[in-house]
Amino acid sequence: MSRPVYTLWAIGRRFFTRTLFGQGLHTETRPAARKSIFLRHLDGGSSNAPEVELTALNNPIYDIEQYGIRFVASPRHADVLLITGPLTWNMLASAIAAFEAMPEPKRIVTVGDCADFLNGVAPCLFADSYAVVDLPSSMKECIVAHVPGDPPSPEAVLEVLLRLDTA
Amino acid sequence: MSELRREVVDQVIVYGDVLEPPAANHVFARVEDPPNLLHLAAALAQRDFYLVTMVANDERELEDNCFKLYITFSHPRGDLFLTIEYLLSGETYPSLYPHYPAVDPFEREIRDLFGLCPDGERGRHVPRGSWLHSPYPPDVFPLRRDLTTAEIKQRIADYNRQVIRRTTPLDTMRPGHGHLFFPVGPVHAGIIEPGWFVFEIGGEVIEDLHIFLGYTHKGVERLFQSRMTLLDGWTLAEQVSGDASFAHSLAYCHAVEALAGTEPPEAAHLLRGLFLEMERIYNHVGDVAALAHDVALDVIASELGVIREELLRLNAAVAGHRLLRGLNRPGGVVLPWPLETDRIRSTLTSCLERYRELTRALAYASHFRGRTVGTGILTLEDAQRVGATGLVARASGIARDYRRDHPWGVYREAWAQECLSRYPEEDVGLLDEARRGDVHARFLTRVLEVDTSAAVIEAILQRWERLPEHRETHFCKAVRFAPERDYNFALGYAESWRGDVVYWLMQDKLQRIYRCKVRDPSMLNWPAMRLAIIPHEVSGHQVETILPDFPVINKSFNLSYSGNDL
Repeated sequence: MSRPVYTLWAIGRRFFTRTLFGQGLHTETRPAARKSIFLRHLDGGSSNAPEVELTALNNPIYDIEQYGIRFVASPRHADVLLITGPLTWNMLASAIAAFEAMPEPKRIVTVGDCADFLNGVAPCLFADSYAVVDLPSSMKECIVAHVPGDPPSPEAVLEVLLRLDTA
Repeated sequence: MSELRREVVDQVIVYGDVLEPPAANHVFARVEDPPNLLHLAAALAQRDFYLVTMVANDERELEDNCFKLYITFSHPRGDLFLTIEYLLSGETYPSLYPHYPAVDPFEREIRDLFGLCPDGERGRHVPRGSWLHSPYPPDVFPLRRDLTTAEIKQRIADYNRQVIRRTTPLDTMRPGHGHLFFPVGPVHAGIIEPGWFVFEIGGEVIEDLHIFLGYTHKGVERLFQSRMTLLDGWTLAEQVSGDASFAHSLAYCHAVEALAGTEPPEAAHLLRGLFLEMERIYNHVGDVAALAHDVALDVIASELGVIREELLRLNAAVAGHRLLRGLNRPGGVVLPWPLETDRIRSTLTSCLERYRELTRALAYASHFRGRTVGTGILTLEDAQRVGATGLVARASGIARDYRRDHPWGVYREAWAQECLSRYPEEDVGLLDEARRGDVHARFLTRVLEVDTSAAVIEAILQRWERLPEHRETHFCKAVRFAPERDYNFALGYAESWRGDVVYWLMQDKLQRIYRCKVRDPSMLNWPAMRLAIIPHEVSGHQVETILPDFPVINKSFNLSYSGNDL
């Protein structure tokens, strides 16, 4: 399928689900899954420091799976896309592809100061770089939380994730 | 030492002019003639000089009115660097590739960021697109100084207004007969950085591997020029590769101190040695945990994961940051609070005791050895040919360690050198296996280096406690830049846990950064990883790698994407 057709189809699909089922689809139809979040990590071009801390979430001290939260291998399985780092031009197309592959409703949690896309003046050095691009607005709309820190500690990430659905 | 220097100068003087060197352990020469550059490179290659870094610089607005290349070499026999300055007459230069295959990634980088290309046949093998992918307009070279950052941003935005281009080298590639392509990435299945691997597989065997990087290209070198001053550039250096934050800021500070001629106080040297080794330990523990996880030994991986977490917490307790950021300054070190030596000692002792037990269990466990011994062999010849460095090179039998070859600070002392070369009696048997170039060798190199690092830390702590100022937090000397050194460069380096991080730094007349080239060890080691995986010959036998072994091999190298793509 050519790209424009695919994009149209994706927009149409979102319009359909949003208007017919509203935002409540997720919580109303999947009560069992409400607190069990499947995460997909997407590195938009970080300095691998957030990855050090996200990896730590899997160790027995934080043991993220005890809360029903786990990292999955594909965006097609994911409830939440965890974006780290500033988004680079080289990664932009791949990031959009990963985002579009997610099932509805799509949610994004940004991790680390460099990924603070909603706050225009991020406390990040890379904001001035030629190689860094703003997150597309379709993805910005889906940001539900941000974890500050350079990089944020595993506790901070966990804290935000645990509040996601109950908030 | 002086003999080596004399030898180098004798060699260089035949082909060019020897200039004022930037440091005492440096020879700096200018070569203007293309054939002379090639002859000199051939002579250096014959005498076992290895490539350290290759820097292009846009000096069209300075006195020589041209692009320049600075190519730095070093020799295993002594603490000596040789930098050759080559003046380009146009936008091409003679390639050193026939003598130094290690220049390949540098030439690709220079092709994309400066638009300078090797001349002749070699130019055709250095295509555009390794560092700047399809979203970048083909006529924008971000490290040339004729466009401002705002103009570059505008050009890129205009170029992508209609559609975001997503062409890949795979579009034009065809697999060999009976083979098929198996693309992986750039978004991987685990929690790692983006990079694209295309395996050409015939059956289970990896017949070829194409590695496409550049996805984390953040324009760091341009940011150094446009946003940073010499005094605050360390904040950006820490962001280059997060797991080697301390080593990067240390190498940067070394470069600034070399420019300014500042010698940090002794306490700062001790602290820098201490934190560099703490960074090495937590990363090595994490890598061994990941290796155990990759061969499905999850109990050991979990135990090691706990140790790593305790070490990260120790970092936070001692230095205020889990990844040891914010400590280095040009001229010294600043601590958030006085150093708690007892805390370091007790945590390290308890962690390393358990680490010892677990890793020795792994080293001799047949189910672990079955996956690691003889897997992903990087032969000594291959490692030398592509200029592999750091831990990877050591595991293949190249004795290269900047702490020993180009010592600074505490590593100049005999006691530190003794700690680096002394292994516990029961581990001497592992040394031989740790030099064979396979996954197991890289695993054992990590295991053994943790022991030597712990010995260095203990020796440093003992000296620290005897210092009269050991309850203080601020150990900095003022850094002053001399105007007569404007547009001079200096080299700063540190041995991170991956290998030598090298910063090439030039100051301009406003005491800002004219050019800063960062060379992470990953840049030299990515091509080496490919050689360890594709079918190759090991002492007369043909060896092949099957696809399921790739994750283990990749983990045993554990190279930085961010440090490579910058």
